[in-house]
Amino acid sequence: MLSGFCGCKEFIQWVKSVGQGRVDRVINMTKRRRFEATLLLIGLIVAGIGGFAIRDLRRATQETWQMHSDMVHALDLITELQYQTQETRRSMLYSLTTTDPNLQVNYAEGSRAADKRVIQLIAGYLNLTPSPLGDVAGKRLLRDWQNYAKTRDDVVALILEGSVKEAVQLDLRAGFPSFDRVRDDVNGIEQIYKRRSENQFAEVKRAFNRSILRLGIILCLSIIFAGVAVGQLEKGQLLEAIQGSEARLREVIESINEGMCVVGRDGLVDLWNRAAEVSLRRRRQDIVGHPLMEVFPDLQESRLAAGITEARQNGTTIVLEDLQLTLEDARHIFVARVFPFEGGTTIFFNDVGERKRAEKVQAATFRAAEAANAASNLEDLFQSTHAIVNDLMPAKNLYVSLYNPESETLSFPYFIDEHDSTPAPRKLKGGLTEYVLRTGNALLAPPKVVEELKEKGQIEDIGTPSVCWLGVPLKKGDDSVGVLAVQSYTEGVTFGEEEQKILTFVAAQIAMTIERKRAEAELTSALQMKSDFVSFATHQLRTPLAGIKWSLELAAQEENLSEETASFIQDGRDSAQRLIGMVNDLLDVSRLESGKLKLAPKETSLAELTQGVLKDVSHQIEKQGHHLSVSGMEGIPTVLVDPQLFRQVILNMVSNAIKYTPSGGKIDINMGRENSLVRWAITDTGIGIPKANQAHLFEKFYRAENVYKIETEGTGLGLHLVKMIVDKSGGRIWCESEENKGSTFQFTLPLSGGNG
Amino acid sequence: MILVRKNVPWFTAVLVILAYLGWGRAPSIRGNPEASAQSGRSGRSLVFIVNKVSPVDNLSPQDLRRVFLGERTKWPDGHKITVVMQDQGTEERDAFLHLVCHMNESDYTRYVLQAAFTGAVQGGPRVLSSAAGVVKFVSLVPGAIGYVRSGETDDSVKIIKVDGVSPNAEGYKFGIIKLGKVQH
Repeated sequence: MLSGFCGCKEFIQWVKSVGQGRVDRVINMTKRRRFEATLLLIGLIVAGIGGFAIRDLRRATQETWQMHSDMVHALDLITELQYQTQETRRSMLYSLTTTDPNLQVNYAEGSRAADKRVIQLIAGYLNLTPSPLGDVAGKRLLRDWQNYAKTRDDVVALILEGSVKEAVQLDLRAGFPSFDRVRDDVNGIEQIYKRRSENQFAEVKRAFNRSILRLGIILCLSIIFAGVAVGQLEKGQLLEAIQGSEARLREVIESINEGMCVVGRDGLVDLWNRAAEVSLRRRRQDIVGHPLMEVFPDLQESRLAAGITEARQNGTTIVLEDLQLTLEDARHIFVARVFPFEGGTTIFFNDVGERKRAEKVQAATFRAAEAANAASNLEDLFQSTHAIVNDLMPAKNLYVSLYNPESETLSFPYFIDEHDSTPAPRKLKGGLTEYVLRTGNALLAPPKVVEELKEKGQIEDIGTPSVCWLGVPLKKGDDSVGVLAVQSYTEGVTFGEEEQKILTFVAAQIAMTIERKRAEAELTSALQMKSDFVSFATHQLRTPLAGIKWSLELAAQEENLSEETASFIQDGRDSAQRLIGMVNDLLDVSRLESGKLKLAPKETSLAELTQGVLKDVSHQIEKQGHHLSVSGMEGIPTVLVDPQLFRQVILNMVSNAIKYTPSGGKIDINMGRENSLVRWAITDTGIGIPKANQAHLFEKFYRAENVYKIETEGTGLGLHLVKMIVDKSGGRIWCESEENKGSTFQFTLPLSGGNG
Repeated sequence: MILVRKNVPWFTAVLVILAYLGWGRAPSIRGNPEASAQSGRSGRSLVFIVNKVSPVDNLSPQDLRRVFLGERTKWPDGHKITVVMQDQGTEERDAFLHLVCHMNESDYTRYVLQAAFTGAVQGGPRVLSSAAGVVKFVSLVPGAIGYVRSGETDDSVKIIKVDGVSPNAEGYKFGIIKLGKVQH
């Protein structure tokens, strides 16, 4: 993916988008986390508040409950006390209201029971430490009550005795006041208790207020803490995000296979990626923090320094091609792209040496293919191939060895070697060449491999041993027909897989060419034989034909011939004439093909030629009843062609038009000048040519399907001959036709120089 | 027999209930002296009770007669004497009238009316319907005196001796056998 970056803008955009995307993601995540953290903290706060609140409330509740129960207890006591004191008195008074001693006794008994309970209650109060009643108040109450109880007992006794009057008197005098005192005491105690309760309540209230205040403080502290915590968390997250983004960016930068260098505003190198380390042969620690120009003095002289300055000034991207830089091993060619940005400049270095080499290999292979095509003989091919291969690798020593299966010998048609001379053809032996031939596989043989093979008994030494030997088979199909080999005698000069690949390709080209040459040679000889045969046959045919023709001419001139005989002779003459035409055509074709018919170009007027032809065929046109029209003859420029042959061309085309147009048709000849060409066209309203046949129209012996209906005797040579003549004259001929509508044949010829 | 056999569950149930009631009542008799006093089945003697504060410990039958018939109105410590009687028709009252006052009911009624009429006695005796009432009354009134069966008393009152003899001792004049014999 990264290697696909042709421009750094895209790359930077990409990096930005990657980084931005990650930052965005992290920010989102942080937001989410912040939300979660806030929730968590709120939860904690609520829980804390809840805990404190529960504790405080529990305390308050306990206190309140204590207060409540105390109050209830006290109220119970007071109520009971009030009730029981009242009861003693009430019961006593009830006993006054009756005279029945039984009831009086009962009432008195009730009074005394209540009295007992009062005593118990008071004693209960007094037993408590500290007494809820207050010790003093309790004791006074007890004393007062005892006084009252005594008086009351007396009153009761008096009542029971029946001394009502005395009883009432006693009660009024002593009982009632003393009871009043008791009542006052009880009320006093109630007041005391109420006061105490109020105090207690006030204390609880204070405690509650205190706890509320505490909770408020805790809440405030929690919120502050939460804020700080969230802030810290966010800070941490952002830091992590930035670090993550940075790490990713660094990874991306490291993974680029283009050297990347960032130079800060101060001119010091800030960033130096791995690809830069490799392609510029400088370790990161050696360059980061140093000025770029100091580390590479070459660059100071080069256009890079100027480029960086320019890029900075204009704020534009600058691409510097062919930046030459001498590194420790060799001269390297770089393409540098300079991108200015706020904090400095980014420079991408791309070592194009490899690419150039690849281009060279490609060009060389292309050249090898070209040479293979162009080579007229194998010797040339081997020479040019050697030159090409030598460009690509140290192939001073190269040889081609071919195997002849019939004689079972190995010949060396091409052999260049520093040490050995060309070996004579030999029977198969145990050399490396034979090994490759045998296995049919390429062999890259440094001495180690050679040793191994020797140990296995696969090969033996032939000739001077090389430092490195590389041989590839020349293959015809699956068979090896020879070997192409390079070898090096120089220590340290070896071949590798790349060389093997190149050589394999070249070998394939050579094998193909050898094969093609062989096929071509076979074909040429076959064609020659055929051509010779046709030419011979036609020549031989023409002599007897001439004899026949002349005999028939003479016979026709004989007088007193019967009408029947005369018609036989006429038929014979026609047939002979046709046969002569065919033989002439064949002869022309054969001569043209074999190159024996030499064109004799002259300044020729197509108009004159056409008129001549039309004169010859006028009686045929009349016979068929065709309407002929000719246009464009005036001012037609001359062309440089062979007039004899072109007469034949025009005649052929006109007679075709006449022959394949039904009677009463229209034939139109048009000629004219078109730019630097002269155009001649003939249009008829004939049977036309089926679309499928049009492509083969000009092939030798080809006849369209529909012509057999009209004339069966054609040879299919006419149009072939026409095309050959037009082609040889530097022209072009073609046909437009529609079946049953008509055809247009036209040719163009270049203007002869004399016409301008 | 057929009737019994047919109603065996019913008889059984009734028996069980009766047995339960009988069982349940037994402890209450033993544990509650007041209840036994009210039942009238305990006590073989007639005892005289005074208020605890009373200085009187011992009285002769004559003293008792005088006190109960209102001929004495005050105790030696100056407390007014209040006589408590039980309702008419009770065994104790009859025995008391017979043994102490040597009167029957009608004699006594006549005597009381006469005494009230002449003014010899003021207010007359207080009459209570139960022994428990008598005991309570006596306990509440310092100058009161009453009679009950022995065993019907409690700590709230003081039993006095008669001629120096306590009711539990040999020679007590108002034994229950005698009491039973004096019935009309």
